[in-house]
This record gives sequence, structure tokens and C-alpha cells, in this order.
Amino acid sequence: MFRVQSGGRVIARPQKAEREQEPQISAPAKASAALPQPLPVRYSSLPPVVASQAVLPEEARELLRRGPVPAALTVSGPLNLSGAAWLRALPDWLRCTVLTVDDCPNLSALPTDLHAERLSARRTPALQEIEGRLSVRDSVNLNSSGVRVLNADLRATRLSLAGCRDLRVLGGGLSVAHLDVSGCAALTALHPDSHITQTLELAGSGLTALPPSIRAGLRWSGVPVDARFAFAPETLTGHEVLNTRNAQRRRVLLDRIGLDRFLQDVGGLILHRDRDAGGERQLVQVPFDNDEPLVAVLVRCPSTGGRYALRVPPHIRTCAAAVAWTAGLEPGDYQPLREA
Amino acid sequence: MPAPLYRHGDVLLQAAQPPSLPLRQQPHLTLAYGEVTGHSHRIAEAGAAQLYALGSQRTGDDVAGNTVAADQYLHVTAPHATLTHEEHGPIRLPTGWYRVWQQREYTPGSVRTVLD
Repeated sequence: MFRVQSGGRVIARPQKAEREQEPQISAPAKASAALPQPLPVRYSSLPPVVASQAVLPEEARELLRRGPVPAALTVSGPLNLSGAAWLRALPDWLRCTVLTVDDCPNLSALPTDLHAERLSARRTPALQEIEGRLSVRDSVNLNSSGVRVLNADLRATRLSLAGCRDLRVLGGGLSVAHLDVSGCAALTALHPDSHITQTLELAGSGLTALPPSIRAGLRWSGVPVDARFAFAPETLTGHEVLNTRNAQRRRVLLDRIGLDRFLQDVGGLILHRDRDAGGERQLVQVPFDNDEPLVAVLVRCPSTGGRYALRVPPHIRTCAAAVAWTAGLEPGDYQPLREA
Repeated sequence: MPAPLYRHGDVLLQAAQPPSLPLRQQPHLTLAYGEVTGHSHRIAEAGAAQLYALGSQRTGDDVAGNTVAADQYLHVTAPHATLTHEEHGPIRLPTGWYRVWQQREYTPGSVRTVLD
């Protein structure tokens, strides 16, 4: 028996002597006995389950499907369990080349001790807490998962948490070259002990500052940005957008400032104006070097009186066509009976 | 003559025939929810309507070839149902089926749904 960083749990590697006496079912069942598990069965066609003796990926899949989930498992190749609604738990101790558990709706935990080249657990809503030791050579992809707390000793080249809207805690045991927390709106801080050695993608995250110890290059939708762009967008101006020559960088700058403030700063050429239930509306254009022009319709909400701007395709030339486009309709089909 | 169309902020509703597509009834009457503000477009009277999502993860392509969000359908079963929001005035919807979708805006290379 040996102890690893397993969230306080002790993981028992199956002993060889015991395995010989009780082949397949000797692998200890996972502690989460509250979950519905199939009854133990003997697998006459499968080899003994041992941590030191690897099983083939298809054998591992069948073993996990039929249950009970062994505490330790070594797989000789990539273990792809994507879309498996029956998958609720994985072995606590797992070795494989690639672990893929995308779109597994009932999977609520990852192994607490994992060695793999890649791990992908995208769109796993029940996966809310991750702890233990994850040692992954290449990438860990948890995009759009339900993870709320990631408090693991996690080492990987790349960790992607894009779209994890409920993520609130990213613990200090992190050591990665590239971290992506884009769209993690509830994540407001990184742990000062985190090691992020190369890039940090943070578009749409809740981060408002970084610990001084983190000096990774900042990215916004893949574009290199500085700390002012990321954390003090109120200091950016519309004229900076106009003076930025690189089209990709200009687009993220415009996105960061927001269309309303940009148009307040720089004005624009009025292409068309008319009236609707909210009052006057305008179609304005701002030309850019090396890129398509910005065309936006400015309208007033009939309920709040607030003005807002919506960008529309650059070929549009009338306010009516622009507003109809925002509704996904042809101009002749956009005749609202009531607006509020 | 187009079917009656209603705009409630960034949410659009248009009277429609009962859909023939498979639908999943929703356990709520919130048509759209603003993640930032917490405000929502919703039917005020419980029991006056039922909200449905399309039965599968269907998405469609707009004229520019961009993927757009799947629609919802609202079935007003009472004589009227009131569509409300914290910032927008109420709209009374008469009995019938409505297709529900959200306003979009253009970004170079993509189209995204607006969520206020």
C-alpha cells in the first residue's frame, strides 16, 4: 500500500498474490459506493486487472463499462470514453497514453493520480472538483466542463479551461507553459504559487489583476496584449483603435473598448438615418486601413431610452435593413407589432 | 403580410404554426437570461404558457454561413401571457404559438447572439 496525493484517500495497488487467487474482481472497488454500480462479475475473456500489467484500450473500456471500477489501471494505449453516459467514475490510479472523456454527462471525478500524454474532458457538466496529481506531458483540455474548483498538483504543457463559467478556484499546484481561462467569468484571481511560464489567455475571464509572480505573456483571443489592455480597459480610447495598424489587434482592441464607447470617441460617417418606436436611429460607418469598414446601427430602446449600437455587415446601407438583419429577417419581413 | 412580430429588447417573438419538429418542454418560462445583469425575459404568469426547446441540439446557418443558436417555441395557452423584464416594458401576448429567438450582431468572420 502506498500513499499518493489523492485528496486524503489511500490508494491500494492490487497485490500480485491476491491477484493470482482472485483474478479480475480482486481490484478494489472505488470508494464512491453510493453511485449505482453493476454487480461484480468475472470476466472470463479479459486479463487480470493489475496496475503493473497493461490492458488493451478496448479491454479497459469494457472493464469500466461493466464495473466495478478498479482502483488502479494501466492501459497500453489511448483510452477513449467520449460520450459514455454510463461512465460515472474512473480508477483513482490510471496510466494511459491519452485519456479522452469528452461529453460524458455523469462523470464526476478524474483519477487522483494520472499519468498520460494528453487528457481531454470537454463538456463534462458533472465534473465539478478536480484534485490529486495529474501529470500530463502535452495538453489538458477541460473546455466547457462544469469544473468549479481545480485544486490539483497539475503539470502539463497546456491547460485549457475555456468556457468553464463556474470555475472559481484555481489552486497553486499548477505548473504549465500555457494556460487558457477565456470565458471563465467567475474566476477572479490566480494563485500566486501558480507557475505559468509562457502564455495566459484571458479574454472574457473575471481576472482583474495578476499576482506579481506570474509573468506570462498575456493573450486576448490569441492576440498578444499588455496589462493595461487586460486590466484597465477604461483607459483605452477609440483613437487607439484607429491608430492600430494590425487588423487582428485592432479587432480585439475594439472588442475590449466596446462598440458604444468607440463610436462616442471617434464619431463616424452617417450613412443613413430614420425614426422608429425609440426615436431617431442612425447607420454609421468607420473606415479602417487594411480591413473591412465598421458599419453599425445606433438605436434607442423604446423602454429605457438608452442608446445602443449593433455592428452589422458592411454592405448594409439603411437603418431598416440593418435592424432587420439583427433580427435575422429581410427588411420587408421586419414589421414589429410591438417593441419594448 | 408577415405574421405578428414582437421585439422585447434583444428577444424576438413571431406568431407561428404549431411546430412539427420534436420539442422538449422546459421546466421554466425564462426566454432569455442575461448572465452579466441577472435580468431575464420571462413570462410573468405561471401556467399561462409553456416554453419548448427543439428536441435536438439543432443549429442552423444564416445567410453568411455562420452557425446561429437554436430556436425556442413559446405556447401561450391562457387568453394572454405577459412578457416581462427588469428594464423593458411588458408585452401582452395573445393565445398561440410563437417562435422565439435572439438578436444578433456582426463581427468580422462570425455572427454572435446578443445577451443583454
